Amino acid sequence: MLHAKVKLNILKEIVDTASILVPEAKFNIEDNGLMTKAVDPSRIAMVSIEVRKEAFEEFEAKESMLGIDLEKLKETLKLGSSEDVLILDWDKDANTLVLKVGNLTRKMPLIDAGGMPDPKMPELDLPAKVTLPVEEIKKGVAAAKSISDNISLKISEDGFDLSSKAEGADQANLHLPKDALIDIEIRESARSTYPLEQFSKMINAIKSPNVTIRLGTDYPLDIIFEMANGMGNGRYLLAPRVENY
Amino acid sequence: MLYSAIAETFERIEATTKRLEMTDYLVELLRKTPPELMDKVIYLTQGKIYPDYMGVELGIAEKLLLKSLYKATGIPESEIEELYMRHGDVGIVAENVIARKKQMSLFSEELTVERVYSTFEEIARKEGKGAQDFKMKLLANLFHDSKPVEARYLARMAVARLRLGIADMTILDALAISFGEKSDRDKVERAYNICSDLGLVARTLAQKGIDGLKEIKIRVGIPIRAMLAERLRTLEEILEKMGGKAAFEYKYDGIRIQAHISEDVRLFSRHLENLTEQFPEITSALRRAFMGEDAIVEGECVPIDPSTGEMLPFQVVSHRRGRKYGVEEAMEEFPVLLFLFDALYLNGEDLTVRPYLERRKALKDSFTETERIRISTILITDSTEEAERFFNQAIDAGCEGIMAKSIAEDSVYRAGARGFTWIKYKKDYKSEMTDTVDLVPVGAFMGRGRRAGKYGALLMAAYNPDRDMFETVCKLGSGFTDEDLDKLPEIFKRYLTEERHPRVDSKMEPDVWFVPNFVLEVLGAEITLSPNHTCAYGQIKKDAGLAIRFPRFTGNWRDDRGPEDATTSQEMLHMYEMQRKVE
Repeated sequence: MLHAKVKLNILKEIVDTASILVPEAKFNIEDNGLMTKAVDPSRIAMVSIEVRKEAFEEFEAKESMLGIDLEKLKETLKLGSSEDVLILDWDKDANTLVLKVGNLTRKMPLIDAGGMPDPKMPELDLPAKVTLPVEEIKKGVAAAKSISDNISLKISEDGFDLSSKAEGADQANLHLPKDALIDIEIRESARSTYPLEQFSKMINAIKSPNVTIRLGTDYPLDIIFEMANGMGNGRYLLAPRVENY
Repeated sequence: MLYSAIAETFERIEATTKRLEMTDYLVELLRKTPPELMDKVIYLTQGKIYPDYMGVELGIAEKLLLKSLYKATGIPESEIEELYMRHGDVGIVAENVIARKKQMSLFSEELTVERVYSTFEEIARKEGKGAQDFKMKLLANLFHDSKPVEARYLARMAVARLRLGIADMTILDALAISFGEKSDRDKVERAYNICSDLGLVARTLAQKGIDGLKEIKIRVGIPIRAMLAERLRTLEEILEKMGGKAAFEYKYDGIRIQAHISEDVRLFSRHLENLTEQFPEITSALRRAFMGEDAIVEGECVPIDPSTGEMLPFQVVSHRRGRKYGVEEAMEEFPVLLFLFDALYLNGEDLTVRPYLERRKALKDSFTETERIRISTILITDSTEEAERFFNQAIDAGCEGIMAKSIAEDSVYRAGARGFTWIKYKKDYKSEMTDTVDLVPVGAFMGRGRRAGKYGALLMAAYNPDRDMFETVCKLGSGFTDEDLDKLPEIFKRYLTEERHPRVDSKMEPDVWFVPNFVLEVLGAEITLSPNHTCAYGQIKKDAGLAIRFPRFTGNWRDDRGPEDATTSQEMLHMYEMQRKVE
């Protein structure tokens, strides 16, 4: 059972965070909030989202699973403006989600959630961690875009580096010394390379001002961020590209 | 069981040309295989997922496979396609790009035999909208988790070209050695011949041992491997070989069909393809003509000219093969008759162990002849003159010759075997070496002058079933039209191999090698001895094999034949001896 009222921009944030990786997702609804986990079809990236009931204007729910077509939901959200309040109801018998925005009602058939996977987050022992403003990373990503398909991240005693390199001499480097960072913890320094396209999508989907990045050498990247104005949190994992010539 | 165990064995098998070594490697693999996976490992070794008669084929388009490699590795499609243009082998391409794969995945597990097999099963069965994309993703997932050498064989398997050079006979050897004594080979082969399913034989052996093979019985609906005939050039010789007296049957020029009749009817070709859909008029007619419970019978399906009632050459029906649409139009244009000539199973009883005349009687007693279903014309005689008259009569009726069949007590139906219990006598055998032979191209020499850039001659081989090798007999350069010549490289493109195929025995070094696949009809002037060719090498004279002088392509691609159905080295030897007698 689910009955909720939520600001359109909050729901949009949840949908956007997941939809950069998967076209549909299974939402686990509990009485104190909702959560979802999904792996992209090529299994190089994963998302995990938890939003507490406090993020909603109203939230009444009993444990249930909803398979949602994210693309359809995204289209529906375009019908209102960000401060609108949506009413969500799950019609269990018809297995449809009923959304109301103002005078508009949209019924949306759900996907059979039973057939959808329940991925586990891999346990990662990552030796370096930084917290910094997302805006800084966006600058580094923008600079890298014209140069390469890859982006390298490095955390060391010097601080945090974001760099990309083309086959010729083209190169971009964003260096943030320790004092430009909100927080840094290092057991040992770490450096890995990731596909820029996915990394960039992830960074651009993040709405919170700050982000924590956990890094290892040739290890998956762990990006941790707040969602729904601090009433939820999200995590992305991204597998590295390894040079093994 | 990990798939890497299979891939590593394949790699070793591919690296040798010696059949005994291949067998050893296979035996090692089978000994490591858990009994319940035995059938799957055997199918994977054959590059299949089911026995042939099930008619389920993998055959992913190359383009789709290359796309899945892109998806799995992130290496640009253009680069992968270029690699494919260069190597012409999806296996090498897959191995190469997986080895260079940069993108790791979050979840990766070692490939198991179970996962590989079930993924291929899913790929083969998926149909309809979105199927291509789905297949591509399934493959990409396999490649994701594969090591480079595993990728090589997964890719070749997916496009249905495993190219290991392991014949059924080698697998049978390996099975006998793994689960019994070498002397059990015949029992293993017999089981295979009646069930046409090496996987089933292997699994039965693994779980129940040699004695368990007794449980493999003839079953209606599962094709039996066809009994084959030898050939001789004169009727005198045939009668002599048959002990003075024999049954002669018309040898119809059609498609040989094994019909399985119970509540429904299934038709299989000599190569165990399911032809049920192609001949609906025969299936219904058989059910009406049959008066018993269930049966397995064999016959020749012959097209008839509807306006004259005369038999037509079988090529007109061969169009129906593999056709899904337009069968009804074809039925009207070229209706077919089925001439039954043998009964292998009747009302619950295995007739293959009974002598020919008893089987023939059972056939006659349980079928009424109808407009579509006939019993083949037969004559039992000990006279060459009578046989000759019968032969001429057969030719007149549009047959390609006659078939002599032993009527001795031991004239059982020997599934999957070629022997002198059946001997064919065809019209073109009467003249010298105006006999045509069916040969297999195994390589080609590049042409010069007008033929520069094209193939100048094909290296042709006969098949030696005892060694399971293709032995060369001639270089074939004449009889091709200019149009043929232009097309040859394209036709053989898919069958090019970098080195001599392990099943080819050759002293010559052509410019390119082929995987044995096609069968061409060839006419020659005579058979001579040659030190350059390997056919029946050393059998007539030390250091010499048989060769065909002045070979000429008749223009006939024997699309109905597989390379193992080519003229055998033994037949070549016979023809050579016959020719000498005449001299």
